[in-house]
Amino acid sequence: MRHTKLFLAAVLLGAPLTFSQDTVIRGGTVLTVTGGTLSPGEVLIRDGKIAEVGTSVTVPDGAEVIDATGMFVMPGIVDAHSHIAAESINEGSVAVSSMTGTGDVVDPYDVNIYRELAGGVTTSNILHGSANPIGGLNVVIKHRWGADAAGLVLEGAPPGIKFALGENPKRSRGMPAGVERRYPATRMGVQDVIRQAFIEAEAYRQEFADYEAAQARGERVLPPRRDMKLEPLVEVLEGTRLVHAHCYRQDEILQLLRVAEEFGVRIATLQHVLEGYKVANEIAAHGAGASTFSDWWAYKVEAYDAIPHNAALMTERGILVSINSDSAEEARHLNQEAAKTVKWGGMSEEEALKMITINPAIQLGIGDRIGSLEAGKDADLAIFDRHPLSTYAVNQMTFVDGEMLFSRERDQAMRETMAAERAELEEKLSEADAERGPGRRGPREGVRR
Amino acid sequence: MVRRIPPRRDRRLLAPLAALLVATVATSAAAQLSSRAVADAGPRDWAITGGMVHVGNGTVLDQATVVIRDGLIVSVEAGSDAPAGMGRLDAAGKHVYPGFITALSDLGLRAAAPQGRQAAGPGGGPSPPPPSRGPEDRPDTFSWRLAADDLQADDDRMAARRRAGFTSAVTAPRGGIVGGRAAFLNLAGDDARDLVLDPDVAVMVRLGTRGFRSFPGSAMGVIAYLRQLFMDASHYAEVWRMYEEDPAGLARPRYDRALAPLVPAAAGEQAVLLPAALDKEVRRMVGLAHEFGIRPVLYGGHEAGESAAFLAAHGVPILVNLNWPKADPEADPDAQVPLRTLRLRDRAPAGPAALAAAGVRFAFYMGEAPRSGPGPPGRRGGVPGGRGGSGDDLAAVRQAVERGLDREAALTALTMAPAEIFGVADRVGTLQAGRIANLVIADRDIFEEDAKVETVFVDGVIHRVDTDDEEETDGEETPGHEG
Repeated sequence: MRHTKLFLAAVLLGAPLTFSQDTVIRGGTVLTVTGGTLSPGEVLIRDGKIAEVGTSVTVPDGAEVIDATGMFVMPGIVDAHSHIAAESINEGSVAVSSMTGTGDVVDPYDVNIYRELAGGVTTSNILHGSANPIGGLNVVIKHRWGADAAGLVLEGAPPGIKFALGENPKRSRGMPAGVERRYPATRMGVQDVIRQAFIEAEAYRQEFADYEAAQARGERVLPPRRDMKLEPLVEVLEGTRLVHAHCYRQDEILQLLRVAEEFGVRIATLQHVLEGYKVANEIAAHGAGASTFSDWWAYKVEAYDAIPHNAALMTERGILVSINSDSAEEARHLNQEAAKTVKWGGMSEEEALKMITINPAIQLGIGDRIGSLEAGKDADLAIFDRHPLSTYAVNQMTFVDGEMLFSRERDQAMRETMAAERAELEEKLSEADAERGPGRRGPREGVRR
Repeated sequence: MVRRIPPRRDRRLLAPLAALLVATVATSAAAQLSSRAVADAGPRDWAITGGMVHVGNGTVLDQATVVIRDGLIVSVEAGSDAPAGMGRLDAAGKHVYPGFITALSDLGLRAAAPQGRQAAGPGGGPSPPPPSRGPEDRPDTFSWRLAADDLQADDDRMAARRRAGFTSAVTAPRGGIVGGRAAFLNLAGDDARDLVLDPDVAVMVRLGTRGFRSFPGSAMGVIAYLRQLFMDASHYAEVWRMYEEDPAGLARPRYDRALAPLVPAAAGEQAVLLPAALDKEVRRMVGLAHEFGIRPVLYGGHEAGESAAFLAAHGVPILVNLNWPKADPEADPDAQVPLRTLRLRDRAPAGPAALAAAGVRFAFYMGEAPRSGPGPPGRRGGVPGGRGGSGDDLAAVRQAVERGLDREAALTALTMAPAEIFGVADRVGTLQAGRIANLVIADRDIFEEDAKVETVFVDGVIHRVDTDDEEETDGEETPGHEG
């Protein structure tokens, strides 16, 4: 059903669909991430999926063969924390904005979708901002550049929601003088808002349960009002919606884990979690994943105790860790960010690559579909000219669902055609402007700003 | 039993009755007035003879005669025979069209939009409320407002539009996320009440925000609000239906003036005007309308070329903003304009041709210049407002014709299409016997560069356009009166 809709959307948009063409990538080193390194290794892509991975795969008649000699093939990078491709990300007017969601404002025109493809990113978790203790719903997108908003959404990804702790939701920064401060103003208040929201959600769930019970008894009762703020929180209580919680300090991390445990909720991921290394045992015991920066610190007070060994130390204590970008720029070199865990934390190359592929995929509940090069998974992959953990590595090609949506070669050619188109349009439009002149024929009078 | 929320269906049945009642009263008043009007201002009934008559439904009759009596079209027939006892207007060599319709405007509205962070509570009073803290505060919602109730017959902009050949308009209340309900009106009358053909044709929605402090403070917040609002309206209808059926033993539902008028729209029975300037917005709005179960009429349409197949597939009509995107005069001259923006500016006037080719029902209006680039997406919708230019609409339509829009399709978009979209095609939009006598007479094909509108009839009343000083004279001459 979702597929049909997506297919329809893609057709209507005229998005290229090349599911019929088989593709074989051969001659390079294949970093499967979950099944070791194959050198040389080969990948067969069919119908948007990885059909075979091995040292020698079937080469069907008519298959397009990509020679990757000397190159490195890796799974498409998964960014567990992104704010691209959304027309708004913060509904900051309320402490609980779970009625909103980035999925409602996906912006397929955002060039960052393409730019990040150039860095090998194929899947991003588009989160609500951190303005409130309970933020809006997130949407997981594939970087299907050229598709419309519906076509970008990764069909079947489990739903999620943003929570946020610490300075941002308590608004300790950036509030102009005279602006009334919204509750909460302290970490205690943040904890209270979250607990209160869970209590409300429990009551709401009970209200509907009572209604259904009364109906089942054949009583005539008015249906309760549906509340789109509380429905996602009921899903959180029931474990069907993933919580991605922005946090920094150890104390607030423990606060959240304890509130969640009060209600039987497991936090899916702690985002940023810069002091995670201090409470790694508690995080591991709770079962939360951690998605952190490689080596950002001290950019605000609550980030002073950040250390670049965080990812490695949390991994050592048994936490599933990913490295995220939270930035359209950073996302373009997440491979280098992952490499820092090798330098600082002594992680193995494979462990480092997992932090930007299979680990975030598992955290987002899509690890069975993406995040590694395995037969049956989506054919999302990137081909780097050197080992992707090398500072010198440059991505050459990115595939999403088996379709090559970025290649450096094609990009260079596109720059020329686009420059020619720009020149032509600029000339044409300036002529049109000159011909119309100000206020003559152009419908200027209707303008009012 | 007292009906607390009259459903739309009943109201629709009542409306013609009410209209009839009003009409009866109005007719007797008009009868007294019209005797004076004929004496002072020439004939009330006209035969427009020998012109090239564009019926508006694709039919064109050369050298035909349109007979108007009591504000209605009596006949449209080939030949130059005119009944005796009426004014005669020789239209030989001229082109006769149904009066043009501007499909979204604020014509006739003078009152300022609601000011400030006005969150109208359910049944709430006039005291200024604090910043909205959620959907329950019904932020920027004025669904109970009818543009028809705020009309002023002496809005000068209506005369300017008449001179350009426009005889009808859809006028939507200003401001708000849900501004209220739009009216379909004729652009001439002594009294505001004379203007209104239908006081309640669509719910007007804008996607504006009021910043970070008041809900909704973001584009996604506005959408979330609309989702909850239409859901609440459906719930409201359901609980009141049950309560009215039999109130015994049921908790009394709360009256909510914001929800009650939205019940027909929430049930898909009344159109909802949604902004969609860009293709991504078209797709988003159609998707949301489908999810909410509402019937969308989009306005904006500057990437209509990209949207045409999608709109056709979903059967959604769109109102195209004739204020074609232009270079932003406030833009940094050193900044490179994105290629997407250049394409938008180039392609927008070619959009209507694509819509026509795809079979999409579309109409035209003159809106605000839509903004591209950064800024709240709500501003991109190109809402109507400001002073509508007199000749500007047609100049912009001619640009669309230059870019491949068939003239007949262009005429449809100015006449029959908006009448159909807003459910008044049984009264206006085509030159057929029994329809309201809204006509335009031009010296040549209206889509020719130098075409001039010479005469306009609104409700059968003649308005002559003096092309020298662009002043019109309202039926003060009595040419060719062969009584």
